[in-house]
Amino acid sequence: MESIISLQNVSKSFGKHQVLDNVSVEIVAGEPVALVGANGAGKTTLFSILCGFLKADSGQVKIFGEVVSGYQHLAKLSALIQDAEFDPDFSISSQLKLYAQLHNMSAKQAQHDVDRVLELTGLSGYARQKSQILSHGMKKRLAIAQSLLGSPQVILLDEPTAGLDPDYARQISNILLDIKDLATLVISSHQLEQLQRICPRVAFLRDGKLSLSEHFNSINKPESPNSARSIANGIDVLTLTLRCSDQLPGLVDKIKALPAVRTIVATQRHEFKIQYHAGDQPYQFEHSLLKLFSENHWHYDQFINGETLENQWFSQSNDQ
Amino acid sequence: MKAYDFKKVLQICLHEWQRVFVTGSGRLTLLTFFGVWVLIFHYPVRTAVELISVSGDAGIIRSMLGDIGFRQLLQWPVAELSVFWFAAMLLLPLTCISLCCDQFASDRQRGTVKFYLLRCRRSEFLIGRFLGYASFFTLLMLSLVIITLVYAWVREPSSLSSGIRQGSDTFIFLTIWMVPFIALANFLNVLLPSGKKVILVTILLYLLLPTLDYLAASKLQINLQTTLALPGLGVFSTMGDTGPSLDQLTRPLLQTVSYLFLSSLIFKLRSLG
Repeated sequence: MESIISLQNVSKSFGKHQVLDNVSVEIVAGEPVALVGANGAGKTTLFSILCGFLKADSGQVKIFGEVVSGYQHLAKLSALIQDAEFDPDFSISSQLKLYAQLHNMSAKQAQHDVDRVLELTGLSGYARQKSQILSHGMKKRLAIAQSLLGSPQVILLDEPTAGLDPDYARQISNILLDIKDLATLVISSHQLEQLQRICPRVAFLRDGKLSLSEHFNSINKPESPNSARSIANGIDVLTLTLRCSDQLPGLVDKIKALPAVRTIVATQRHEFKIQYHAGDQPYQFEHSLLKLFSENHWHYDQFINGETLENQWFSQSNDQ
Repeated sequence: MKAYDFKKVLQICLHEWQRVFVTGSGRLTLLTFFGVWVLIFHYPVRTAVELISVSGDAGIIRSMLGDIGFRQLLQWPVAELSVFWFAAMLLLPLTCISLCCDQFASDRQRGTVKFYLLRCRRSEFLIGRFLGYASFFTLLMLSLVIITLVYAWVREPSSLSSGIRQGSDTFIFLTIWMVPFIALANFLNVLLPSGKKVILVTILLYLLLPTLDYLAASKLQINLQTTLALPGLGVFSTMGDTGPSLDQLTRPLLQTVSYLFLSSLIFKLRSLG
């Protein structure tokens, strides 16, 4: 298999904060790779180094066997860059056409390619519009469209579903499923669940270290000690993950005060792992939690039965 | 190492032309520019030409202007071009900086520049943008010189033959004289986050560098000559006997090359967060 990305002893720090610590990894062409890590773990930094936007402090970065500074990778590698926006002066079609022409296409070929990528991402009707009229989700689709121009062999997608509601996130996931055979995708996210159905391979980034697993599902075995149900001191203990979009004052204390709750731990920003006793009635705890949210006029993003895959992996790696 | 691709430079350059001629903001800028210059031609330039060429007091006025250093300018065959050249030297530097202040600073802030840099070298992008603005400004210069010649021809049809020579010299001179302003703005675009800041820093440079030279010379007896880095200084020494002196153009060309070299170097070394 051809090596598409090769990192050898790559380190990068911002001031005293070491983001990448002597990272060495080799990714070969093939099935999509999920790059997973918590917010601030260094996923965007890693992508920026691969694209040549940032320079590593030390180590060697090669794309298709060529160092990034040699510009040989330009036609082969593409990226969805988080937070990069289109020029508000030009129409979507006009900008995409220029980007296609920079892949050494004629004007006619470029227009054909623009039509193709807009069709793939469901944006054909917006070709003559300017990008600022698009919603956040559509802008993500547009960013994917630009990354598909010129048929690159590897596409880096930095948080393609970040900030999207579940409906839009599903749309993006479907687009990624549609394009996964066109190029080797490397998709970063801190939400493993969304990536699991797209990516058979997964790379975890934590504390500046990167580890690649060829088998995503190996981290989610049913016998995992951190699954939804466990027995502690002869009592049935269940786990639930709660995700909120905002900080809710008093949330932790009020949940702790619920009679069934054993522990509540913040696992990420606005994400909590709750362990509780199973009640006599089905969904007894969930009902009391929903009632608490309703009484306080709070909103939640997700209740996840059990732990998130990401936390499971982190727990496993900590145990090791 | 992949070879430098001039086709990409040209495509980026042509895309900047689209910004001017196709987008609403570009057309508005163009309309404002020519609107202002038509007013300048119609009132200050025409009045000045009448004063130095046609009016009964023309001799006295020419003598007074000659005394304060404009003797050569008054000898130029087409009076309209003389007055236009003078007005251009006063007005065009700031116009040039204003029109070219945001070559890619806002693109850097917005992240748009990353879409380009996935497909071309940093220097190809930077030079493409510079050439886009420089060629556009060249076109503006050409248009202004042609309008001036038309004004001169309407007043005095026989002036056209001598006007073409003086006009082409004026066009070449103004174009090369203005290019380092665009290169300076290009350089500042690498360092600063917006076009507005580019204008402010340019004005500051014109205040600070002469002061620095003065202080170094008067207090430390050191001839720093930092003002050599500033485009457009010493313009009155460029007046030739029959038109602008083209052998005075080495300095602006050197300034242009130096700023573009620095731009490329710093842009290559800079991280794009």
